[in-house]
Amino acid sequence: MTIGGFVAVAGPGLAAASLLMACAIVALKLHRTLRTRAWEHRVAPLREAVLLVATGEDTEDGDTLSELAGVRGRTRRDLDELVVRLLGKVRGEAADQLVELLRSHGVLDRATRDARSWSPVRRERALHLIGRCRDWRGTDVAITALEDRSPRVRAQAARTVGRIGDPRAARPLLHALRLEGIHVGDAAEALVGLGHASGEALLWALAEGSPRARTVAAHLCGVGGVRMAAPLLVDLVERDPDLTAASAAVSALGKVGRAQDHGAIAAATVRFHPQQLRRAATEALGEHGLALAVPVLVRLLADPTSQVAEAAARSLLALGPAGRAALVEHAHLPAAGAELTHARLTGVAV
Amino acid sequence: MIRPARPPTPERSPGGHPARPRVLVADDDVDIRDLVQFKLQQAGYDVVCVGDGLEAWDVFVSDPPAAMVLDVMMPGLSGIDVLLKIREHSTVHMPVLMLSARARDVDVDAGFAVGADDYVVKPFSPRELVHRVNGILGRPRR
Repeated sequence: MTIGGFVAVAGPGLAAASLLMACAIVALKLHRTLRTRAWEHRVAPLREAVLLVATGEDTEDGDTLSELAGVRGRTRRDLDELVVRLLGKVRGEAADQLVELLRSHGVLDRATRDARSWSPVRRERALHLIGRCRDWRGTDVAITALEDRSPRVRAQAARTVGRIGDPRAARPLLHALRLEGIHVGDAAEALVGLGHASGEALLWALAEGSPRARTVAAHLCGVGGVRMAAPLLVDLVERDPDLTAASAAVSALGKVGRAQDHGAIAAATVRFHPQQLRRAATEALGEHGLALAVPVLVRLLADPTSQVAEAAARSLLALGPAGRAALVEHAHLPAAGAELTHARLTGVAV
Repeated sequence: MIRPARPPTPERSPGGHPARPRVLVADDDVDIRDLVQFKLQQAGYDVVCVGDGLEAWDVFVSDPPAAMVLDVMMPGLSGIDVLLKIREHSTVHMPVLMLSARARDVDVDAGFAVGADDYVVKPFSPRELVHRVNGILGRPRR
């Protein structure tokens, strides 16, 4: 059948289907708009009182809060919706007041129940609300949800445990990284939210975690200055079969490594290693800051892989007078020359 | 060079007493606008609210406030664009506070680089916001 014939046969059907779809979309949008307007109309009389609470302007006795806590029926549901919306926009005392209001309406108890609902959408929403409220009583339910069968729920659970900030969640969160759904960036942010108390869990993950857990743990050990992680990081640099984890480990070693770890970092720059690891190791030598690294970095200035050579030039510059002198001495090499020019243009003394 | 129609100096009421300084709040989120407006009014400011950058620029040109609170991500002109235009065209220093969900260091640096007097990250503390607005206007803190 030709294209013209196909259009002649299927055209009317396609046109009708398109029209039907367009009508459905318009109807849906109209329904949503009308619903939102009706909701706004219903909450309008309460808005000023809620703003009074949300901006911390309530009386010392909390008169407005008490008044809002006493609202019943459909108005209460509308009010709770407004409060949840505002809760994502303020922090501090104002947010605490809003959480108190939701608690008095039983919203948090409901969310804790909904986090075990059969519906993944409901579980995700409930966890989102628990996270927004930073309700420590939701820790257990959020930890359980880290192993949920839905990847979206697991991802939300990771964000929720980070917001609540209970350090008990650190190890379960790292353990859950073996599953799909939790983004490593979200996990890292959540672990930062859990504070220093998660240090022990990071060490566990370096030794026994999945590749993604090892990567996140190595990164956080470096950023957080967990110096006791150095021996485990050396082990990852030398033996980890996962390239991303090994590269994260060598970067972290540059930040928290001891003097005796110089050899492990330098060894990761040799040519038979993958480029990603060599580049991370070359940058780590600059961060590690030992003059011992100068000859290694000078050799890398002539590396055939330009990213490694450029990283070597940056590291030499970071190493202080000895590194800078070596860079000037080898200014004829492209990577060194480019770095020196860049340094002079940006006002760095060389 | 655009000169604001009136200089943004403290106005005086007919009785000769200093009037409430007027602050322009530009944000496309109605909840944020309401929260900021309510808190600033409680702190003794007159507040004008707009929902996008173009309106903010129009208000600045026609009737400049004493200070501005600008969201970064807005339809029309972004807060950064509005601030750039203000700094480029105005002969008078307009105190501007950026209020944004963009919390990374590079975003904060960008705000100050284009001339913001202060930068507050969302979610924000309403109480802190008032202190910051007082700060950019050189008013004593409550």
